Amino acid sequence: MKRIVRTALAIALSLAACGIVIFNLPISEGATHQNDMTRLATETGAPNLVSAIYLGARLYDTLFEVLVFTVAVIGVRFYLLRRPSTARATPIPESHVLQASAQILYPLTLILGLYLALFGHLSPGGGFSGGVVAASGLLLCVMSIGAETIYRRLSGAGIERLEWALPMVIVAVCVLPVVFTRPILSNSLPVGQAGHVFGSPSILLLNILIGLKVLIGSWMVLYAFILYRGEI
Amino acid sequence: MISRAVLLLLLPVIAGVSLFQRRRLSAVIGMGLFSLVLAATYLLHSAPDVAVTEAAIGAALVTVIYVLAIRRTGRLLVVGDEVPGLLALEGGEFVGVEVDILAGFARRLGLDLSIQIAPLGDVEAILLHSDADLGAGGLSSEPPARLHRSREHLPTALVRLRPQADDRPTPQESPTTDRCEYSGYFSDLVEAFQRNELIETTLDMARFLAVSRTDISSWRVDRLSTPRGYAFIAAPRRRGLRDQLSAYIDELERDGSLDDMIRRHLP
Amino acid sequence: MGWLGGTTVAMILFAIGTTALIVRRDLVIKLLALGLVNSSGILFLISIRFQPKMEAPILPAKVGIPIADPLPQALVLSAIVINFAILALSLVFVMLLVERYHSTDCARIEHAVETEKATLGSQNLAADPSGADAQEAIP
Repeated sequence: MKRIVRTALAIALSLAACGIVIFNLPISEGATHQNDMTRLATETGAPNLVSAIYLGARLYDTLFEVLVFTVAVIGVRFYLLRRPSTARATPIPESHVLQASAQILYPLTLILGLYLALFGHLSPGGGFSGGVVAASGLLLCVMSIGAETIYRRLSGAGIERLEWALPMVIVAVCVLPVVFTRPILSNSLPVGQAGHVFGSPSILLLNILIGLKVLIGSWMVLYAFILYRGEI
Repeated sequence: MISRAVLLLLLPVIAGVSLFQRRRLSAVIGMGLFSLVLAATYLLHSAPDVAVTEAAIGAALVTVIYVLAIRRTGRLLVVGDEVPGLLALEGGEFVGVEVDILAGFARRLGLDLSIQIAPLGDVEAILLHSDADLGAGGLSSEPPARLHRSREHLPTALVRLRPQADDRPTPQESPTTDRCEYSGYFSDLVEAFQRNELIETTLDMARFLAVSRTDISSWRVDRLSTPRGYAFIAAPRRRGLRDQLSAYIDELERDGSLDDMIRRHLP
Repeated sequence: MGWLGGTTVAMILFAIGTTALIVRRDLVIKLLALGLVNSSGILFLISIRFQPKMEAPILPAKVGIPIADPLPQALVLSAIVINFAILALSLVFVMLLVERYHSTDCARIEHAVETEKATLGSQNLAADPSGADAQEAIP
């Protein structure tokens, strides 16, 4: 009886909280004016308005979110990688169907992630989307090839150095123009015609950097989990 | 318009059903499905960026991380062969003295008990090479050095079965005959007995009792002298588990539940 | 907005999420419910300015058709990715707890922590009686 009362109270309270908030919000109806949008696009050179906003107008929000991501990844690695460095990921045998289908799918997913990151300013996508799709492609790689092989190849290529270098580069790219008393990057680099790949080099550069950062961070998290708990 | 309404109506149903599941794995997979439907909803609300990101994160990365995190949380994995009275499968459930001991132990530790049947000869190999925690099923001989043997919970003896025609004197205990050994599963052994196909074998008491329910008049039974006991074996890195199990069996013996269990399953 | 809009459904999802967060005792399911509350907030933000016949906020757009507001989408996009990282961190803590107390049941873990604290407290007292006396002497 007490459980039912508690459940009913929880439901009622949460619904009430939502209702109070929702029905008192000052929401203005009506779509955004089309002229403002066109101006935003031509100023930053990115037809994808979402990218134009979070990499152009509100760049510092994105910068700090990237820093939050970095700190979370550092935390995960710190707590999970306390084993000695000779620890290996214990493989758990899986069905052959998974392995075969992952072998076919992972190049497609990786290329999709690359496309989303590179052309993020022209069509839906962007750094974050490209990074996570590429991370799931890497996950398919792990399912088809094996976590240890992927880890050895990536570490051999110096992914650990990239992991701490990238946030510094991103911070530099965002902050240095202001330090040198110039407007932020998207206002200082030349803007080509909207709709062209190199139409807005600043947004392209930031997309690539953020995509790489998200990919490497997600890989670190996934590998730490795999090392701690065995392979998928 | 209709598809948007359908998806929106589907969302609370999926979320409600999957969050109030019993098994953690069902909840995780349900929430993965919820993320996918949510991504489709975002798409129909004219937010393609958000839809792609939510699909990739919710369906792929988050689900994988949860599955890795809930793997092996709270499971006590026991391997052993079937022995009627100690560890037997009846109607889909495990019953027996060892099952009772292990179930109480798992409940004490807050883990799920998971029993897998494996041939007797393979139990030690499985304990050494995979992630099983305990070996059970009427083990009465000393394991190799890396495995840890727990306290004995039931005394037993070894019995050697020979065809009636064999006239050699009673064999003494020797290194070749001091283990209960047969290949394959115990149920195969019982079938082979019923078909009179076996040459010579050594069995311990519980197995002998099971086998003697069939007709063994054509066999000569010799009892080997050294008394032994059934015990559990723990995997190489599980010495603490072995100590806890021995302490638990001590407790059971002290308050008499061990005798109750034995009387219940082995009349 | 009509009664069947993303905002209403977001409200219902929020209620389901918080209810599951309070009622279920398993830590992993609590985290799942928290993720659901996150998603409900995101759905709410995206569906505020939605009208049934809108286009995605990507130019070039057809003339005369309103375009969805890109601002909430931009705010929400990085939030989704950050949620994943923070979820990973909280799962790490759950895994460490499970490793220590062998259960994901929060009531059992609380009980174990309390017994640990009690035994630790009595141990300290037993091992250091002079310390306790010295402390009592100084009010």
